[in-house]
Amino acid sequence: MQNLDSAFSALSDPTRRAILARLALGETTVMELARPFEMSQPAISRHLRVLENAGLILRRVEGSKHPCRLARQGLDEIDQWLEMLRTALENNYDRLDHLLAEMKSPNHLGGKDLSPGTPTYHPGDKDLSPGTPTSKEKNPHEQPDTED
Amino acid sequence: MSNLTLKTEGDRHVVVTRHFAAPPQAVYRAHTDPALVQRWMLGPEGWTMPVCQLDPRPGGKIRYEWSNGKGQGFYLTGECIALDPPHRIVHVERMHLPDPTPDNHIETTFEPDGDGTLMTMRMTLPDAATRAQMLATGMEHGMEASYVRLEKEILAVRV
Repeated sequence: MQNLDSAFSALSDPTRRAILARLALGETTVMELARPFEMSQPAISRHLRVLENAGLILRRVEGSKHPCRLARQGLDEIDQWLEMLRTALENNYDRLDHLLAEMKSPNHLGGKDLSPGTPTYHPGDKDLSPGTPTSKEKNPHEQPDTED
Repeated sequence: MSNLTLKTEGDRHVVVTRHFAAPPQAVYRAHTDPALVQRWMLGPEGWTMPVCQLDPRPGGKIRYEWSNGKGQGFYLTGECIALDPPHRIVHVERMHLPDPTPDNHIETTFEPDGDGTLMTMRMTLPDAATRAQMLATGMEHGMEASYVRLEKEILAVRV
């Protein structure tokens, strides 16, 4: 996770994101990179060092020039990480989709009318609590009496 | 398939949107009734939420505990700040990993969207560094939503 920490940290700066966006167009020298930014070359170089240490860019030496380019591998790692997070979040919301569909069904334990105007749930309403949360989780065989 | 969107906004915000095929009343309720929250806010496959406490009133406490059934787990605490059923929830939360993370201030709104609901969850972190930290490690446990759509910010940029 060390790489991801430094990658996200590197990405938390708008200048560095702009540098990456520029590099997405192709390999570029430090001088060219500095041009659109109102920054000195040393300041840009510091940003580049952060990006390099985070594995997001690669630099090579070509005489006195140091052209930079995006590091595919570092970006792929971020991509995969975000995909995993996205999947976890999607799992949550897919479950919520099913739950909402179930809530519409009159057979559902908590299936009271949810049409507009229905008072919202308040703590103390008991039609939705088939046992305490903990007992429900700890006793998977004692499922509440749903339609299955 | 997915209609989930995730993006960063400014230096301190993360915004998530999602459409649901149910009216705002139902989606709001699924976010404020602990017995319902406990059934969906579980993160990756295999995780459960053995403890789900949520008192949906201003000042009401929140405590979620997750477990992977193999001895690993962590928890989240928070407080409700404002509730406007079925339109809006404002709350603050922090993960305990086990050290508490900086407070994440979250406004969740539910708007009618066709036959369903558009949910918008806007998170505000104390600063850019905290947001970066949250994106990199806070979601390691696969729970509360928080991440950037980097391909938009970086890979898809064409000048």
